[in-house]
This record gives sequence, C-alpha cells and structure tokens, in this order.
Amino acid sequence: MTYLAYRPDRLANLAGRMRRASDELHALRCDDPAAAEVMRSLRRSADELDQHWLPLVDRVLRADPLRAPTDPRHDLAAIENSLARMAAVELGWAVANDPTADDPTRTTAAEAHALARRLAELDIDDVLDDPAALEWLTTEATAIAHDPALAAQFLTEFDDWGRWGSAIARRRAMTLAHLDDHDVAALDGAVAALARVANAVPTPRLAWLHDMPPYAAALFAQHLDLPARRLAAVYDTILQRPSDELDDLRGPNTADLLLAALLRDPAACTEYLQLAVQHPTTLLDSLADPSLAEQALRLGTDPAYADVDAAGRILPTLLQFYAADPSREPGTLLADLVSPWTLQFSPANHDWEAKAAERNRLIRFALRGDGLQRFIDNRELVVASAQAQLAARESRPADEISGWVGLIGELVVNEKVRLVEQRRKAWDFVCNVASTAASFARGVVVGVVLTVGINVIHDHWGPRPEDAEFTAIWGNDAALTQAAAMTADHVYSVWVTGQLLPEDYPPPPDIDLGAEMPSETWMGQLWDWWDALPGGYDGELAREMRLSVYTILNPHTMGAHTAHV
Amino acid sequence: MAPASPHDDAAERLRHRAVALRALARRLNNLELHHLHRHAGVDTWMGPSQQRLELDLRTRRRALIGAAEALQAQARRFDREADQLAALPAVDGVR
Repeated sequence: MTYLAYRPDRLANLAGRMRRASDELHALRCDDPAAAEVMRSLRRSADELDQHWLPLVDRVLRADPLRAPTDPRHDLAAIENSLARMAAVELGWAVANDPTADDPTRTTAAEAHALARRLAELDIDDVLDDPAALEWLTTEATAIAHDPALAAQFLTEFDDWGRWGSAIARRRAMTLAHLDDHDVAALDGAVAALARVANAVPTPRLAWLHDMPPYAAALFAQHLDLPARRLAAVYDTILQRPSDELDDLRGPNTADLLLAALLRDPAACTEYLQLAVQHPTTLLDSLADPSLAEQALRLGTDPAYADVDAAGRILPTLLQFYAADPSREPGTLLADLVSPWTLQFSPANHDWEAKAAERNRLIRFALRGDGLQRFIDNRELVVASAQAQLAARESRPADEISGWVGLIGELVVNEKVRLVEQRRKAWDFVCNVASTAASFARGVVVGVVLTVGINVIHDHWGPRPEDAEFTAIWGNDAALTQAAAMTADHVYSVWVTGQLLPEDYPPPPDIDLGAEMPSETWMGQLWDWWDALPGGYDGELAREMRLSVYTILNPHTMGAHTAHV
Repeated sequence: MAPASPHDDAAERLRHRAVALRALARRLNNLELHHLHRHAGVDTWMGPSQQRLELDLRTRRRALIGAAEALQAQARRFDREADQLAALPAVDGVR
C-alpha cells in the first residue's frame, strides 16, 4: 500500500500532541552524570519527533487529499485500493499518498481487512479478466498468508469462498478443456495464495471447502498445509462428494488433482488410503488418469512410509475388494503391493486382524495369473523387506519365520512356472528366503522347514538350467544340502558369537553345486571339519551340530532320497 | 557546635543527587510521550506510516518507563550510600 487513509481532525490532534511531547522532552534538564544516558535517550526521542514524524504528519495534513470515489488520480474501484475505498467511501476519511512508503508490497492489518470486504462485493469476472488485478490479488494474498495476524484479519471478514472458488475453478477447467482461454498458472497462483491465507491461522477452519463444488474444493485443498491425517480426511471427504460438471470436462478432474497432490505427500497418501479402502470406488473409479490410483497405492503402502498397522488397514481390505469383484483386473499391481508385506501373510503372524486362512486366500488371490511371475521378479524386495522387519523386532517367533518360509515355498510352487529362467529365479528366491530366515531363527527349526519348502520346489522344477543335464535327483540333493549347509553356518555363527570358537576359526564347508552329488561332497568335507573342531568328531561341539544337520541331511536320508527318486 | 564532618558533606551531596534523579523520574512518568501511541492508532489513520509511528511510539514509551525505573533505582542507591556515610565515626573523634 502506498497511501494513507486518515481522519483529518484526529490526525491534527495527534500532531498537536506530538508537538507538546517534543516541547516537554526539550524542556527536561538534569546535570547529574547518573542521568546522562537517560538524557541522551530523551534527546533522541525529541529529535525523532521533530525531524521525522512531525514533518510527515504535517505534510499529510497539508496535502490535498485524494477525493473518493471520483478522483481521477486514484481509481478507488480497483481491487488494489480496497483500503482506500473503504476509508474514503465507507468511513468518509481522507486519503493521501504515503510519503514514506518505501515498500509498496507491505500489507497492513487494515488493508487485509479491507481487501476481504472488497472481495465479497467485487464482480469476480472483472478481477479474473484483468491480469494485473489477478496478479495483485495473488501477491497481496501471499503477503497476508505469511503473517498469521494479517490472515486472521482477512478471515474475520471474508466469507465468499464458494463464489470465488467456483469462478476460478470454472475458468481453469474450461481452459484445460480448450473451451476457454485463460492463464491457468495465474489462476492456480491465486488459488494457492488464497488457500494459504485460510491455512495461515493456528487452527484453520475449513468449512468453506463445502461451499465450493468438488473440483474447486480440490483446487484449494491441494495447497493446504495440514497434518497428514487431517489432510487425508479433507481429501477423502471431497472425493466422496458427487462429481460436478467440471469433472466431466477433458483434463484432470477432482480425483486427479487430489491424487496428484497425495503423490507429493507420502504420509498423507498412506493416511488417505486407510480411509479410501472403506469405499475404494472413490479412489479407483473417479480418475481421468487411472494410473494415479496405482501410483498412490504403491506409494501409500510402501514400507518407507506405511507402518505395519497402516498396511494392515489398507491391504487386506483392498484385496478383499478386488477378490469380490471379478470384473476388476488389477494386473500385477496386487503382487507388487503384497511383496513388501509377506511376513504378515505368514500363518503364525498376528500383526493384522485378518485370520490366517483369510490372509492365505488373499495373498494367493494377489498372486494369481501374472502376479506370481511378478512376485518372483520382486524376490529381492520380498526378502529385503522381511529382513528389515525382522531386524527391527525385539522378538522373532520361530514358528512365524518358519511359516513365512513355508508360505513363500508354497506360493512359488503353487503354479507351474514353465520357463527355465523363471525356475532359476524361483530357486534363488526360496534360497534367499531360507537364508534370511536362518539368520533370525534357530537352525533346526528353519532346517526342517527348508527341507519341506525346498524339496517341494525341486519336486516340481529343480534348478535345471540345461534340462538334459540336470536331473530331479540332483535338484533334491542340492536343495537338501543347501538347507543343511545353511543350518551348519547358523550353528557355527552362534558358536563364534558365544566365543565357543575364535572369530578367525574357519567356517563349515561351502556347498559345491558343480559336484555330481553335492550332498556327498559336502558331507565328506563337513566330517573333516568336525574332526578338526575342539573336542574332535566326538566332542560337544561336533555332537551339537550333528543334531541339527542330521535332522535335514544324514547318511541315511542321503541314501533314502536318492533311492526314492 | 561541632564542626561538620566531611562524611556529612558527602552524604548530603548524595541525597541531593537522589532528589534530582527522583524529580526527573517523576517528570518522565508524566510526559505526553507516554500517551501518544493511543492517538496514533487506526482510529486516526491507516497505512504504512501509521504502523511505523505506532510501533515507534510504543517502543519509546517502554524505554521511558525503563529509564524512570533506572533513575529511581539509582536514587535509592545514593540514599543508601548517604546513610552509610552518615553512620561512619567522625574524624578525630569530633563526633
């Protein structure tokens, strides 16, 4: 603002009082050195009054005030002169240029108040048709939004959100649909600035969003800076409202606007999904760009942003929704969504409310069709996510981990995977799962599960990169040996950790997958390793490991499974 | 009549100074500058200059109050010192 609005009689009274104050200050005398600093301060005050403020007030009083509202020097109808107009027209005050205004963008509380009143009476089209006026409004609202006190002044007076929101939204949507021609960036700028004003007070009230059609509400809501949960609730409320005519135009609709905003705010996205799965059609069926829903689901259930509880409120309900509606074809989306949360589908896991049988049904549904292939492709994510969750826990029940390994084994072998390359991936997958499990659970428990899981996979399609050369016998043997080797490694690491063996003690032998019968080669090397242990082959350590390893692989079972095949 | 003690002179000077500082403090508390901000608000005028002047006047008023309090405190210190001097024994047993 670059002008002053004033009541001449009161300003003259102020000038008189300032002169009296100056005279009093000049008349003060005290020679005591103890008062020297005080006297200097008083002289500075007198000088400031004499040399700055009194001349300024006198200049304003002497100036010919700008006359409202017909004064050609000042267009008081212009939005940027809202305060001058209010002062001149409504209060009958004089208006003059402010001789000291060095920052025209500076906004006062009175101006914020006056602007709010003026917006309620203006013809919105006049403002939106005038780029300079729209730019001024945006600048002014931005300044008001930066100061909660100014924003409070504005909001006390402004209650015309519905009219302004509808008008701006209509122009924007029509322009994007090529039915009109306006500066969308300028419209968006005004929306953002006004929304931030509403958001600038400590406890913003957002009832005004209901005064707007959904598209307009979405335009404003995407600029609100609220805690994630509250923002999600605002978005969810808007998306549950019936669509309006602007949603039918070409271009992003209400849902597109809000989903795009959620993709920029992962915490709010996770919160929103927890609400949206209660009525998933608002998320899945409202978008002009359906890919936004997929992106939101991936982001909002990503363990980087969603905790176990949040994922538990989203995924089972979402899977149930898809499972209940055969007409929906989510492709591989569901396989992607469950991949980071496989531990929660383990029969003995109790993180989520759904019962084990239901969780088993849901993950099998998620992995049907191409989902299984995708799940195998996601194997690194599956293992890494489970590893991270297990590492973060205080307790890791063995039955839960065993159940998880068994679940993955069953899922991966549940469907026929024909391609050799995929069989290799499945093999890697289960081995990685088993290896992860072995690092968290006691060897014997895991070993037993591995025997089951890995045997199952090799009964179906063992690791035969060249089908003619590798047989099912070799596959089963390698699988059992792998499981036994992992168990031996686990027991060994427990010994080292417990200082039963020095840190630099050589580990048990590695499995040689190039051997004709890996179990024979490995077991021979293991016996040698046991011989070298403290106490020798018959010592405590060797006996303890034998109890674990022989549960999976021993001279008897080696012969048995070979004979069986 | 016993001659005046040098301590008495010093004490008397301190009491005079205390009186002068208190007088100044009283005058500060009654200056028009204390009330100017009430006449410089948005009931009188509105604009950037108004905001600056009102802020400036409020700041100076606070400084004025602080100065008066500082003068009163110094006056009390002078009075205390004067009392301590007066209580000292007279030189050469005059008192």
